[in-house]
Amino acid sequence: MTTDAPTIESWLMGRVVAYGKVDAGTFDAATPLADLGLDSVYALTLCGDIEDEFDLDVDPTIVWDYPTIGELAEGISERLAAA
Amino acid sequence: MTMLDDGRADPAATATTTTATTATATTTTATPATPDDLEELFGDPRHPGPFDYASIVADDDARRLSSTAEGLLDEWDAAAEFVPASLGGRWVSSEDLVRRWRPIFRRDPALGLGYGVTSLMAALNVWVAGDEAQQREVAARLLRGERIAVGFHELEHGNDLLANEFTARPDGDGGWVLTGAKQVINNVDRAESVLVMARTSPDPGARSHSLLLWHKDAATRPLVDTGRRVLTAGMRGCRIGVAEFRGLPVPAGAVVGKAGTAGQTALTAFQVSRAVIPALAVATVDATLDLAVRYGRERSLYGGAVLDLPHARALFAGALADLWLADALSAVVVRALHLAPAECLVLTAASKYLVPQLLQSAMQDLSVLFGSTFYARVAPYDIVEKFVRDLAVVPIGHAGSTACLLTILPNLPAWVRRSRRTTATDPELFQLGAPLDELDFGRLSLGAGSSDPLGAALTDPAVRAALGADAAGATGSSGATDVVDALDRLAADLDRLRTEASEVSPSLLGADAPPEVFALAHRLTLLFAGGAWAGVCAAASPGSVLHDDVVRASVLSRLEARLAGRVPPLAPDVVDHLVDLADDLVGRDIRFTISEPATPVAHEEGDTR
Repeated sequence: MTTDAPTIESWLMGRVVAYGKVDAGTFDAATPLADLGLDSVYALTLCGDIEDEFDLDVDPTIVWDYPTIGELAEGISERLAAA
Repeated sequence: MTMLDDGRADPAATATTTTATTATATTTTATPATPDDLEELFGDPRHPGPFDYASIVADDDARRLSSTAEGLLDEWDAAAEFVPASLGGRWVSSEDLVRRWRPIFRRDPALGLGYGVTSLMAALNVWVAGDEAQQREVAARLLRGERIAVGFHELEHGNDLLANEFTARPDGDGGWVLTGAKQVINNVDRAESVLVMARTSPDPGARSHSLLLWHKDAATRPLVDTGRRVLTAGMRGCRIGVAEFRGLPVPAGAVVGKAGTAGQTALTAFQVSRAVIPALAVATVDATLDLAVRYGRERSLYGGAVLDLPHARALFAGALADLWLADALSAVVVRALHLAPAECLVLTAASKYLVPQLLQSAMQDLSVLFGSTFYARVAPYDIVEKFVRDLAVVPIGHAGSTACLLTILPNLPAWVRRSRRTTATDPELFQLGAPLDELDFGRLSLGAGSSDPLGAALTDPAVRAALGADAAGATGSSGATDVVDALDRLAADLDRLRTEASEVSPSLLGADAPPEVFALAHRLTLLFAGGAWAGVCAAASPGSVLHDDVVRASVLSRLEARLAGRVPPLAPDVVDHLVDLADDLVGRDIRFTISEPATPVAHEEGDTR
């Protein structure tokens, strides 16, 4: 399974676009998730998607601790490496 | 305190209350002379005594709490129940905490809230996120009888805590300066400490608020006005008020947990209060049912006793079934704090949502049974009118019913995945009264956990086998078949709910969710209750009413009716059975609750029933 941050980052960007709140190309990995319309509900949806994709149980607080896609990708990558 | 014409306290007359009230609360130590059981300490409230129903009603009318009862609770070291044993208190099993505090809620829910539950709610945040020094300090303060108020609420933002505007800004020297108003805060005037939630960063999101604990004895200037009281319809005796902070400095050590973690800490701590408070409130309805039987037997109408009238009997039986369901769900969720902590975000929200709803429905039915005695407030049953008003506050206080459903909604997709992979449940969850280890606050999480223990109870083969057999172990009786058939229908409904919930778009799971999505969360809470009921019936100890197939089926039938959205009266033969059972229990002074040992309530002499 892919555990490197850049791949996870582009997967995350794909998910965010799939939620339909922002268009591709209007944001980058450094844009705060809060600015992408990702409220607490989408944070939980994203956690579910991470769980399904990486078989990794994550607490929704991960989105608070890693507030951008870039940081979140790093965080997931580290947890996968540690798992 | 000077009161203005509109009932508010005069701020000018009470501004001085903010000057340091030195902590001189009585230091109490538990002595062997203090009865272990509050029932015994308080005495039978139906008979004249220092804390009887008559005095409770009189105090309520005067909007004060019973000073006698508060004195007895001080003597009993009541707050020690809220302090973990590892910090010097008596709290090990949360189920024991509930059991030991229930005598208060059988008499006066306002006393429960006003004397201590508020302090529990504040302290929980410190047990969850405080450092060792803060935990020791708060434990010591509670153990010497002090109170802590919960300064979270701002009327403008309701349960939307992360929208709160009260601010703490750095004083440049490590400390903080608090400015803003907190409204409808219980005990804010008399508590020795206040835990406030304050904005510590202007950024949007969940890391911009912090919890700060202010000990009033550290204040040297009147920078906070806590004098204005808010008058409420229920819980009248509680000293609910407003706190206006005008630049109060607090030291760096006042922050509980790291700065920015208020949301996370509060959502974790809420899980414990969301489990415990509904379980306590069950006792108030238990007491009302007891009064209803006594009233229904002594009051004559149309040539017979009230409890001989079919309509009154049906109301009573329905209320009793609702109480049993509420008791089962709340008790199992309290046990889950210890046994399934990772699942508790959703489970405790379900309990705090559904249990008050069941209790209010029961109280509504019973108020009809009491008839003119209820609305004209005829002693000794006038206490029931107060109970109705007090319980109406339970679904609003600290985590509103809608806020609880909002906790569940975004977790529905995760619940579906976990529910589909959970095939067996943990029998320990349902062994009410079995010992529990001290609560590990660190295991509570803000996620959906990894399993669905209550949904699984509806399909668990061990639960089904236990319910398919009668008390003697024989299978195939018609009563047991009814119960298992009902269980099968609930399991099928659980399956349908999973399918429906998995089809909802995430965009419909937020605060703006449409009514049909809220209905999914409502159904989930009912199915959890069904799982809790099935589980406790399967695990019931010998001699419990939970072995009675009519009792089992009556509760499941009410539950199915609620799922269908319409609750008709129970069948006449079921009503007769439940009323006979109730007559027998009251005659032997045994409580209706199934979560406590079925031993006679110890009452002093003078029982003239």
